[in-house]
Order: sequence, then C-alpha cells, then structure tokens
Amino acid sequence: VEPYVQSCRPGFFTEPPKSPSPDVSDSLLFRDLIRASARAAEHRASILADARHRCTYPEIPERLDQIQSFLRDRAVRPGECITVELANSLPSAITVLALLDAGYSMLLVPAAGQGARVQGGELQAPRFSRWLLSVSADESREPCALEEPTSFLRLRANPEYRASTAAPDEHAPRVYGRTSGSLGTAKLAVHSYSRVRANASRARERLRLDPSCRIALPSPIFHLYALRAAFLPGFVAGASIDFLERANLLRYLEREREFDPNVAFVTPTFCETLLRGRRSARPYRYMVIGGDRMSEFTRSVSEALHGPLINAYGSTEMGLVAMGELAMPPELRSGTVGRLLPGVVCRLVPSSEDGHGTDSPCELQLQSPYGFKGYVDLDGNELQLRSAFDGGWFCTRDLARRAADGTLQILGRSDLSVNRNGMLLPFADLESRLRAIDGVQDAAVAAGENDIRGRGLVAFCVLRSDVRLSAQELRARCAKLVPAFAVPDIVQVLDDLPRLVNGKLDRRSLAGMAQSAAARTQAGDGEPP
Amino acid sequence: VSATSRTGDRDSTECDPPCVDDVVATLKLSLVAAPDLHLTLADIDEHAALFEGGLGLDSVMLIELITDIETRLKFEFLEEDLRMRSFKSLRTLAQVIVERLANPGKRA
Repeated sequence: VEPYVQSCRPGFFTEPPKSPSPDVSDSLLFRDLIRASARAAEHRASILADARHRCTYPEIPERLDQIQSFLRDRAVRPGECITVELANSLPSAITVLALLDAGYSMLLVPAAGQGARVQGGELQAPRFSRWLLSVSADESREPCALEEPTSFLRLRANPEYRASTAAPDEHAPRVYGRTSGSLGTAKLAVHSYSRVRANASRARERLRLDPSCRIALPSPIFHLYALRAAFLPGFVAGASIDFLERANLLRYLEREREFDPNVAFVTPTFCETLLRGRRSARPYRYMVIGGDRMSEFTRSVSEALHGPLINAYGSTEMGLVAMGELAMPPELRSGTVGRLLPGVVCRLVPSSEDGHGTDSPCELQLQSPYGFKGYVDLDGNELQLRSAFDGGWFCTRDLARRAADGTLQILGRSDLSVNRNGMLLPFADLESRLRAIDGVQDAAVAAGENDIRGRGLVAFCVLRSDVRLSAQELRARCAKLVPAFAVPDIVQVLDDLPRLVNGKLDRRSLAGMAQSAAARTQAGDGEPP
Repeated sequence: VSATSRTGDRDSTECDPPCVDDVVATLKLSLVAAPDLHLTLADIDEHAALFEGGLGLDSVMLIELITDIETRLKFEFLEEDLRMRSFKSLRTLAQVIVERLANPGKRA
C-alpha cells in the first residue's frame, strides 16, 4: 500500500506502479476475497438475510454471476462508474458484492424513501457516472427472487452523463463516498479498492469476527461506516448478517427475535432508541457504536442490558480509523475509541494559539493507509481543498486526547467554538460540563447573536425523562461549574436535540435556533440575560 | 422548537378503564402535540398506517409517541407489544393498549 502522504499531492490520480505481475490489477482485489469467503467450508452454515430474504454462503457465487451477467447483457463494462440506489436489504447487499467482485466503480446512495437523502435537496448523480442502478426497495411488494436480477434491479443510462478524462479506469476501480459535511458543495471522497479492502480486513481482525458471529445491521450499508466496519469485515469473516431496512424500534425487536443476533453495529441514536423499548436485559457478545459520542448515562444503561460496547471512530474520508476491542478493560473500552488501526498515524495539534496548558484539547490529524485519495466534484475533477490538509496530514477537526497506552478519546469538534472576553471556548468543553449536571441527558451549544462580550452563547439541554428542571435552574447550576465567561447566555430545554438522518447533531439547525432564541431575548420576551 | 418538556395538559380519559375510542382520541392528541409531525386532528385517519405511506412517523417520532402515550395513560408496553403488527394503525394500537391496560403484566 502506497504511503498516504504521497497521494495527497497533486496528481494523485496517477496510480502508483503496479506489482510486478501485470495480471494483478486493483479490479481483481475483491474477487479472490469474496469468492473465497463464499466458498469456505467453515462458512457453509452462515447466511445473509433481511426480513424477507435469505441466502446461504454457498449460494452466493451463483447470485453474483447472475447479477454480473445482467450487467454484461446491458453493456455495462467493469471499470465504469455506477451510481447505485440502495436499501439496507439483502438484494442490495448482494448487488454491492457483485459490483466489487467484478471491479466496477461505484457511488452508493440511499434509494428514495429510505429516509437518508441529503436533507433539503434531491440527490444528484455525478455526471461522470455512466449508469444509474436502483435496487428495489418496495417493501409492499412480494419478496424478490434473488436468482432473477430483473426482479430487483433497474438499470438506466445517466441522462446527465458526460465522459470525463478524470474518470476511473478499468484497472483502478473506485468506491466514492458522499461526505456528510453540511457546507453544501457537493464533493465526493475517492477510495481505491485496495484501501477499502485493507480497512475491512483490519476491522475484522480488531473485532475478531468469525463464522459464529450473527450480526444485526440496522445501520444502512450506503453509509461507509456500515459498509467498511460491519458488512465487508463480517462477510470476509464468514459471519451471518441480517440487514434491517428502515430500522426502527419495532422492526429491530422483531428481527432480533427471529435472527437472534449476538453482535450489532449501531449509531448512538439508535442505541438510545433500543434502550427506550427494552424491558429486560438482552445480552450481546458486543455492540459496536459508530458516530457521535454517547452520554455516560446511555452507555451504562446499554452495557447493563446489552453487554460490552465497543466504540468505532472514522469518517467518510479516512475510513475506519480506530476501534476498541473486547479484551480492553471495561472503562477504557466504553470510554475511548480504542487504539488506531495498524498503519494509521496521528498527531495532536493544539487547537488554540494562546495555549491553555497541556490539558487543552488538541485537534486530531491523521495519515492512514486506508484513507481516501482526494475529493472530486460531480464532473470527476479533482478538488484541491487546502483546508482539509495540513502538510499531508488530514485535519479531522475533531478534538481528541491520546493516553500513554495509545487509546484515543474523541472530545468533540474543533471548529465549533466561540471567543468570549478574548477566551476561546470550544463547545465540546461546555457540552461535557453540561452533560455532567445531574439530570441532563444530552446537551449542545451554539453561537447566538453577537453581544458586547463576543459571540453570544446558547445551550440546549435534554433532560432525563424523570427529571424536571427549569431553564433558569439549569443556568444557575451551570454557573457553579464553569468560569463566568463560559456561562451560556440562554439555556433552553428541548425534548430532543436536532439530528441529521445519520444521527449526527444538526449543528446548522442548532445555530438557527440559537439565533432566534437570542433575538427573542433581545426583544425582551425571553429568558433573563 | 419546543421550550418545555412533557408538562403540557394531560387529557383525562372518559371512562375507567378507557375504551378503544378514548385511547384513539388520546393517541391523536399525542400525535398533534408531536413537534416534528405538524399534524392537526383533522389530518389523522385512525385507520391509516403510522409509518411510510401513512402518517409518516420516523424512528425517532415512534419513540416519542411510545414515551408520550405511556406517560399519558400511565402504563408500560411489554416488549412483545412492540411489533409492527401492533402499530398497524392508530385503531389497532388502541386495541393493543386497551388490552394491556386490562392485563398489565400478562403476556399476549
């Protein structure tokens, strides 16, 4: 695997020299892996399933062949880019395997009605993508016949297609990832097969996945987290995997009774959802949590009912970066994201110039053998985003701490902060103090109107359901915990924090809410300043 | 944006134990009170599906509905009540709840 730094330089589309054998190209990288796993004797009893379909491992090679001949018959050539609209279903999962196996370049996107379209806008297929493939997501219909790809696949030529010189070629297929950044400009992270494959192998090793694992996967595979941390590692390991379409509490509990999983990959939000419906313990071997941080309270309730939690950390750009492991001491395992995966290096850069001493949180910057090759726009042209890198290091904008044993703790976002009275206050700091107030389940901070002291500060708190606290009481308690400059101007109690469909905090909505709350206060009808 | 938690008016049920129609009425009030749904009483068809293709509840709204009706009607669903079948429509759900109110600990 070529060093990551090299690929950040201009010209990263020039693939490094191939290995001595001219037969081995990137396009075949998944083929041996996928076929070997499907045929392994010790994987014979494993299945892939969803609520309406199931497929044993030995049946998989034939299913892949059928999908591949469906594409060949329609003149889709390996190496061409396909935008695939997916549901989190077995037909979708098999289709993804078939595409990887044949060496297509792909962008995986949620199918209409799968609830995860980019908020506020229709999905746009990249113009360099020649084909649009949709996998049926209509639950009201009869189950699809997996051996009949026409029963679940619809192929269209992309009407917007424009050939691009920067487009991928047959020998270097790519997996594109849509970045979750809320800045609005469409950009895609480019991944090579070799890095996606290596990332999946490391995840499998870290989690010790094996054929006895029965994985519940409510997180959709069109997200790179579920694809790279769960689906591919699980498949390579010969685990049984159950894909849950349009996951909600009821569907999850129903499938849990049927499929009897012993491992689950969930987001913190979904974990909380599960806990609200749990009436008794349902132990798992472990649950892997990917995404935002989870409150201490949720974490401990989940461990009591579900068993060990393992945290995973990564991003669309860098893939899976760090992950805990079952063997870690419990407090480290649930309180950190574990150690970096082999080959990943990090550095911690103080996030403020004036330096608040050695304890001040630092920004995590990374170089990874599993990281992306760069960004492209919808025409396939390379985007030079200088702000994304700092001399070859990818800037995660996450604040982190690293213990002597190498375990990493993610503290929050580095670019979310306010300057008050000349002091830099990271939201992450204040948020963790707010969460420490007894009765507060979750908290988020956003900047309000400018005032004399700098940016106004609005805190949003979610209380535990058995707790009643007024906004004024909360603000008073907060004032006892933090220095005066950090006390929020306004505190609001919410039933829930606004979140994006992927479960991450919706910072943009929060900022809007903070602005209007501050405006109301200025008009004299809100909380006291 | 709601600035208060669930301290709003609790509706009182007409009869004790409540009948299916009372529970349907309570469920409708709960949905009208849900901040993200933007529904009025007139919008809600008690025979409509709760999720896709019906009232459009998502995963988080479902949890809010469950928590809210448990608070309003002072009971708890058993885990086996929590299945798609029970939430087919408001009327079906009301029937499940009436059953549960009558037999708080009994398995269905």
